[in-house]
Amino acid sequence: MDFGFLSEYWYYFVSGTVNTIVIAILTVILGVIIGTGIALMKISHNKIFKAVASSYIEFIRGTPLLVQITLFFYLISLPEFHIFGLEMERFIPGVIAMSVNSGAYVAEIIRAGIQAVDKGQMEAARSIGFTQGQAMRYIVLPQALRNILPALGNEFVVVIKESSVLSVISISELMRNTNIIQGAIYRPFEPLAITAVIYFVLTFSLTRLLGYAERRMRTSD
Amino acid sequence: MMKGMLKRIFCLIIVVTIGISIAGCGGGETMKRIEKTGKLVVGTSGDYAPYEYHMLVDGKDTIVGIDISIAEEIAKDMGVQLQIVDTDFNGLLSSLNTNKVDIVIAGMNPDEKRKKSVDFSKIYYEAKQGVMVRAEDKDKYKTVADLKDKKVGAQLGTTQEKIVKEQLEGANLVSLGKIPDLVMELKNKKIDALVVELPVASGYVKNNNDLALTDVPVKDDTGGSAIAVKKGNSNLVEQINKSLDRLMKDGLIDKFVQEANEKNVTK
Amino acid sequence: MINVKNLHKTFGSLHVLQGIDVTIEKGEVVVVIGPSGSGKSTFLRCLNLLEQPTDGEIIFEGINITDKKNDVNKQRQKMGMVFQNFNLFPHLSIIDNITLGPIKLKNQTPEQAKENAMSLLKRIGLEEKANNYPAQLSGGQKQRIAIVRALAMSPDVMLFDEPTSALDPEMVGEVLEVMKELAAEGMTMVVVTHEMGFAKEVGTRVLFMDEGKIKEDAPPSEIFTNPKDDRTKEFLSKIL
Repeated sequence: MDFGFLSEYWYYFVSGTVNTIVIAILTVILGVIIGTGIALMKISHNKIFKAVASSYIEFIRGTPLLVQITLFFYLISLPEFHIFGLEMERFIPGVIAMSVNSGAYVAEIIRAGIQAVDKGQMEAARSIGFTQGQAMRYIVLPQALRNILPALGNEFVVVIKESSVLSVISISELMRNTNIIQGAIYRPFEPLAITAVIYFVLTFSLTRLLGYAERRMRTSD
Repeated sequence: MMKGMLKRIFCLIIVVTIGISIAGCGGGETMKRIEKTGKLVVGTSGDYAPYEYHMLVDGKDTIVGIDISIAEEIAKDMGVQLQIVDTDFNGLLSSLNTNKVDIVIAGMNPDEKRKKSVDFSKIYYEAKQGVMVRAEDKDKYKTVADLKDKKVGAQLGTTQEKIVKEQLEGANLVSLGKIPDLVMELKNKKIDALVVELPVASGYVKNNNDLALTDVPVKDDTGGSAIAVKKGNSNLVEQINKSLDRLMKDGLIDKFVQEANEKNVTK
Repeated sequence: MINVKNLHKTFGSLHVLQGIDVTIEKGEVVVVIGPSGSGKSTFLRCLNLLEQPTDGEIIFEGINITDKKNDVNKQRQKMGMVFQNFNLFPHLSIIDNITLGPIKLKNQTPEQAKENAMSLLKRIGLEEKANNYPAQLSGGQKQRIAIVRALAMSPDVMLFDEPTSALDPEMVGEVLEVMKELAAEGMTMVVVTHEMGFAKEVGTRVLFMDEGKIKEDAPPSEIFTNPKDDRTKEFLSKIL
């Protein structure tokens, strides 16, 4: 084991880690937006909405993320431009693919969260005179959020780990940068070991943070 | 529902295929584009030292290596700026054919299969191929016959893969996408030998005491590395060949190889 | 006030309501009794369309609410409903439970709504619980809050769906007390219950339901002393 290369290549770990975190945050945000839409479609009474939402979820969950990412990269052809040194023509399709993927899982999390709210809550709200939408907004969703948030935290952890797949379309996240270092220093093992530790520290501290937040939320009940 | 979905997927595939084939037409357009933008966009795969690899130069992430030095010279001859695009090796030729890059320099061998989808310049560097093994096994492998029934690694979709199949009779091929992964397998005794280009192999041997080069003779039919250009751009190929002739005549390419090897040795 | 004509409701192959015809006048306290599975809760839930009737008409204050073009949300504001399981909103404080409807639906200012809610809470003696959450209340307190929540919308009629069935016995009294006061003030009420004492004492009319039909419709004095229908007799003999 020889970690002397770090003096020359530490930068790639740092920038890769930062990019991985940025990608994960964007993915979770977009995934929640997509997932909420799909979940609402799935629990609606409109047959077409239901069918679209179900096909979406089934298709995404039935195909590998790797395939989806490659497919999106070739489908979304963007002119090249850079923001903060990131190649947007790769970064954008990559984040979209990750979000579309995560959205399907988030949709199921949200649907389950909504359906776990007692049916009586919706009935009580409707009996006061709230419309379906108002009842959702004021009564059901705020309660569903307590079921949803912990599961969303787990999805965040999953996204951090799965974003390593983006290295196949050469987005300079942590895994891609690890490959770059491996290729440059003729030593394959050490960079990989460091990267494993970084991923673990990221997900472990996030899990602890979420556990703490969850306990706080429960005691405020 | 299932039927509708299949239909949609089908449409998608057709649209993609048509898109790619339309992008494949047109003549001399790459040269026109380079002249218009004043920029030569070079696609490469920056994890293949010493041909191309990343380094911090004055604190900035930069791709350097033999191929990059050559690309700089070509851009200089054309009087345009150079821009490097770093992609996975497997995606390079489709980047070329979808006009995401103008040319590809990535230590690429002009084999028959690739010649079907793109055109190549003349060969700029005749790399020899080497068989790398664990240092402790160096004495065991002297001839092609010694590799019989052994597991021999090569990078997926490369000339080396072909060499294992055609020249190493009785060897079992193990293909992986990335050379570092293959090296790891070699070190962990999951494979017994590894066919790589000599400049790459010597980099690994220099940096890893437990690796060694054998004298097992393998030869390269394709002759070395060349620059890929989208089909129908003979004027661009000519321009590149002119630059390559100059570099070879002045012995600059050998100098680049030497430079890259020196720069790259970390200790 | 409420005019029900030939009301039918089926759940799949189950014919729960088999033609209900009844008129409820302003100021009446109508108590609906009957064995479980007789359709009395379904009937009540049809009155504000929490269950969509399969057939028939419901006219409320002159408007046919079963008409597809009618927006029932407007009428629901005038029909308060109290559920067996209270259905308070657990994420909102008591005061917010009560004021949410008036603020969002009746355009009351938060100050107005709060003032109104506090005076309602004072009436049932729970004003000090205003900032508590439902989970901190007993069952009886929850149900009284649920009644106040419905009243805050100033409804013209109150629907009670077995309001005391989920309560511990010692808490039934406090809820019935509030309902009695309400009746005394002249509120129109439709109450599905098993509390025969309440029916006798407060009801102006008792509907006995069985097998999806109203078998008997009479004042409590008559129905409890001199039932005419055989099924009514049988039912009353079992529970009294």
